[in-house]
Amino acid sequence: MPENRNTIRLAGLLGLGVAVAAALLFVAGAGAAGYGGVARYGGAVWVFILAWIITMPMLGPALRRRS
Amino acid sequence: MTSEPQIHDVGYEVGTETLTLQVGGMSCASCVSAIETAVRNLPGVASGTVTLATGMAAISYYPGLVTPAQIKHAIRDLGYEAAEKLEGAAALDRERQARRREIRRQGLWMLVAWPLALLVMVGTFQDVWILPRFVPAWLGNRILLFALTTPIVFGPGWQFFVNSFRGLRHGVTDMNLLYATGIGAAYLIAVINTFWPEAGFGGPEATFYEAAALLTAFIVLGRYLEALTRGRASEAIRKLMSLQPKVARVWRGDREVEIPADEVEVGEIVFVRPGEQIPVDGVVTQGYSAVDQSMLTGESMPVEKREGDEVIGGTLNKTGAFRFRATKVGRDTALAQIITLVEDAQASRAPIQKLADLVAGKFIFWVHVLALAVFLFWFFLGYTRFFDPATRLMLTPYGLGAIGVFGFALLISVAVLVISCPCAVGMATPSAMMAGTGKAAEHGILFKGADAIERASRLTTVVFDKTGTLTRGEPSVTDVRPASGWTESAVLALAAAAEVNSEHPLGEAIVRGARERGLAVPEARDFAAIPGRGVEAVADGRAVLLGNRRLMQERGVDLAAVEREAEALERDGKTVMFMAADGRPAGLIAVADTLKGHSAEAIRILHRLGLQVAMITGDNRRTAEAIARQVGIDRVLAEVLPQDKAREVASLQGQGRRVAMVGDGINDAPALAQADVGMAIGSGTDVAKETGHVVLIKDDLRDVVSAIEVARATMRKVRQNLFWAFIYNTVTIPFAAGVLYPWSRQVVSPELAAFLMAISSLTVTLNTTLLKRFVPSLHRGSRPGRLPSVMAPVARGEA
Repeated sequence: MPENRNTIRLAGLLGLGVAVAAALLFVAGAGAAGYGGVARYGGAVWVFILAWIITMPMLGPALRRRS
Repeated sequence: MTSEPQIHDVGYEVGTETLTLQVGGMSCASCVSAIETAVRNLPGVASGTVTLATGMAAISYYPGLVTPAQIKHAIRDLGYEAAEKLEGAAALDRERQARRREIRRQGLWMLVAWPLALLVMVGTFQDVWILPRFVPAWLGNRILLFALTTPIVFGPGWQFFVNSFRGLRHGVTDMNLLYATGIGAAYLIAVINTFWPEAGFGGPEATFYEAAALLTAFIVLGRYLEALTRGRASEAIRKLMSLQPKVARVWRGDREVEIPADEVEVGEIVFVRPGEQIPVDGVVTQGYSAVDQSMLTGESMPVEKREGDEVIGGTLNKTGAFRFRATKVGRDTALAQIITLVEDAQASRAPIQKLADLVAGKFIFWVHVLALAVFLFWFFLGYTRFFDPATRLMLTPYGLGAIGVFGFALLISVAVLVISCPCAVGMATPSAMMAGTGKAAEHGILFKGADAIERASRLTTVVFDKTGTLTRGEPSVTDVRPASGWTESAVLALAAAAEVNSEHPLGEAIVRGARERGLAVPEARDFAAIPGRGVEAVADGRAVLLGNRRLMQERGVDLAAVEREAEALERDGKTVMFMAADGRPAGLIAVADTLKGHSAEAIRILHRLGLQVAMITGDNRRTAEAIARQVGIDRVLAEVLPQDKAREVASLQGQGRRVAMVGDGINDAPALAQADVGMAIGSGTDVAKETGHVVLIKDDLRDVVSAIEVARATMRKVRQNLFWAFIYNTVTIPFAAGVLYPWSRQVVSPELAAFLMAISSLTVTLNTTLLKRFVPSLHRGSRPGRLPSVMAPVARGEA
């Protein structure tokens, strides 16, 4: 059980990192395109949520396979 | 951690145990996927299969590494109910309670969500069309809309947030997450635009309260409908379970006592009075009565029962009182066995369903990927190129006005999430399979798994075992040919007299044949059996010799007068016995294994269905071909030893044929197992011990036809359901993603997406319901039973 919990937690943290990176990338892109603060940061939140949801279930099985 | 294959490699076996759980609160395929993922993620779980339609989870685990409590905890942690499966009435009660609880819960949320959501909708559109005449302006106040929407999101909608959070904690994403993100995003934008209109989310023109409210209401409606449907899907089992009697009156000590029916022991004498239900299976030992078996067979007339007759638990005694000896109790009763078989079949998963579940499970992931891609496209490219302030929400007069880039891209992204819900895909196969297995059980056909239905629908060849399947399996007199000066009756009577003490099957057939014709069999004396030849005796004052050609030749009987007729009968596959009286030929008696009733009719219909029909037998080719000619079979596999039957079936499969083997399940078990579909026929009350994939309770070959017809109808329904579910997603996702927007200037609102999603599930559900009206061709025009008539043949004593 603890081993499994750790894997999920690790997947969550790594997914979090990927999602944060995606959101930052979005902020940079939106800034470069000249969008205002709301669009930039609002969009970044949405990108962060979706990116986290996408990456977490991908990373879990991958980590389990490696361990 | 050391894995099972590694342990196998070093020569040890790993013992597993199976845990069967009743899981409550599932609504679609993604729930199945989420639970399976969470359970399989537990260390110590070897495999896990969850079935949406029955709400059952079968989990194989290694004791010591994980406990049932931990497995249940993992499922509960996702927001579902999990309890170990109970047997019989207790299972029925628990399942019914859980279903009622879910229906009540979602019904309550409907009562909260719908009136408020309709108010929010009317309030939002109060300045549109003719509504200003009827709807007061204050109802469109954004603060009021906020006040009306908030209880919907945090009441009925809260379950989706909680469940998606629980899922994420276990590393799984499910439909709840789609709902939560959809509802949450719509509500959040509306709140921001209400309290901070200058924030750039579209301002006062883009308060999507009605989107959040109606989205929640439609999803709850979908859940409510699914809870209702799932309950009805297991109707066949519920009806069978409701037939299980509660009490029995037995003789214990020196008096009659009333005890619970499940406490009756084998061998006990059970008393049944008029109007009482028969508690267990047994054999009548005293008394006479008529038993109403209509609840099981659909027969309108009660069936007479007297000493020695079999009675079946669950049927109703009508006129007289009788007592019987219990032969099968508890789990061994025919009714209990049938319930178990139907339950197992409904809990199993067809290959096509596994594919659908896999697609539905992966779908969630790809939907989020698509939602992200759509968002990025409309944010960076689409909005600046195509956005028009005159944009309207599809099928509404509601304009988006000055919605900003973020609000616009988010709206489309949320619509994609909601419209992509694969609920209909998840329900398509299991609901049809449950209806199909239930329908088959009504006709005495028990499929042991959904995979058997799928394979039975694709058969190309049906192979029948001859003896005991196509034929009665016991010889009987077919022809009596008297010699000159003799009559048929005289020949048969004298032959019966000579054979009356015989234990040889041919002799028994002759004695039975004489009795069936009502002949008086004279006394015989000086009886002697001549091994491998026949018998001799003195009867009616004559020296009777009865046997084969060799016997006659050895005793010098001249057969010239009857030889031609004997050869003609032998060409038809019959066994000819010669009879001589006082040293002169008296006649011939032909004995053969006769065809069962309806054999020819069943094979004719199988041909009409486009199937090749073959017969397999250990008999010589001449006998086999004679039977095949009578019944209309086009391929004969003769002189095949019992152990080689499976090889013959495999050989047909090697030619690319999909083969069903129909046998009595006794000496052809390997062939039944080898076939794509093994059908054990005429099993009677011993349904559970039968080999094969399909058990036909009646000894009626026409049920082979019905089984194939039901299987084909079920798979037709599965394909239709999958078509409706997938076509819906395929067609609507591009709409939701805004593919047509550059030309139409309309976008799909989240509430329209939720409505379409509910319609999709409803279409699949209604389409499945149509299967309940299916009647196999041979039963059309007959009165259907009031309840599943799986026991019909048993009760009629045919099995």
